[in-house]
Amino acid sequence: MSSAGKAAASAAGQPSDRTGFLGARIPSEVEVMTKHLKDLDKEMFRKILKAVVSALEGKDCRESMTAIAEHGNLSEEQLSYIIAGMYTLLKEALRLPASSLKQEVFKEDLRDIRIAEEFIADFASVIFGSRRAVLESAAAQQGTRRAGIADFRWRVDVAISTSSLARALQPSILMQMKLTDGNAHRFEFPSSKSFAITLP
Amino acid sequence: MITVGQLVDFQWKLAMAISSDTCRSLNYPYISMTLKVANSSGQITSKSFEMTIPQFQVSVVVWCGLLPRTCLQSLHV
Repeated sequence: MSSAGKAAASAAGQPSDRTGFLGARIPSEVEVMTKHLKDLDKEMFRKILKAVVSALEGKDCRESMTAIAEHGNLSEEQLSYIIAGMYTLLKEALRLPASSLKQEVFKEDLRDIRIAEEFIADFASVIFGSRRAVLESAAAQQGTRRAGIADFRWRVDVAISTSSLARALQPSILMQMKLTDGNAHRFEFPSSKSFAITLP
Repeated sequence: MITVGQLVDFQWKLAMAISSDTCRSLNYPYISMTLKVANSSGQITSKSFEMTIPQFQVSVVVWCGLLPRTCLQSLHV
């Protein structure tokens, strides 16, 4: 579909060698969604979009989804195609920082895949509107992360004498870390490894 | 029957804590020890701990009172 869009653009005399924000190959769920959007009235579209945005923010939207499924005149299959397509479209747009994906380019990419202009405006208001910050922070929280350091304590020691060395005078660092996942680690850095811990 | 582990390794260190994240100038001596104990199936667990000098002195007195003379001779106490 994107190649058809590019062909149309170049036929109109505009260079279009840019890959859209959806990638070189449009995700299949987005392609299927565009077919089903044609049968959708604006009110229903906005209801579904609102529920999908709630889901992206991490909220539980089962109730609103059930209500849409029951009161709408869409089959469950159609509804699932539309929801999947909207979700993927918005997720892909949110992956890119606002500085690299501009609103006009976003809209142009959606025109390339034959989405109606009024729906494009609604999609754009989600990505470039006031809810953007909330969506970005929700996405950051849902990503995979390592544990962070909750507490870090250290002590520098000098060994005077040990069971293996009579006159040691070796410095070492004792460290104790508590991580955000609840694990605690206590360990000693011997002086031979001191080169490994030059801090910026 | 309660089985008691066997001490297989004993290492000690007399050191001086110089400085820490909470105190710039600690300057306090301590003894740290690492004991390696083998249980009846041969699994070795390692335990490390620290003592202040007074704590160490108390523990040595207790220890020496419990050990037979042959052990004390080998430790050169």
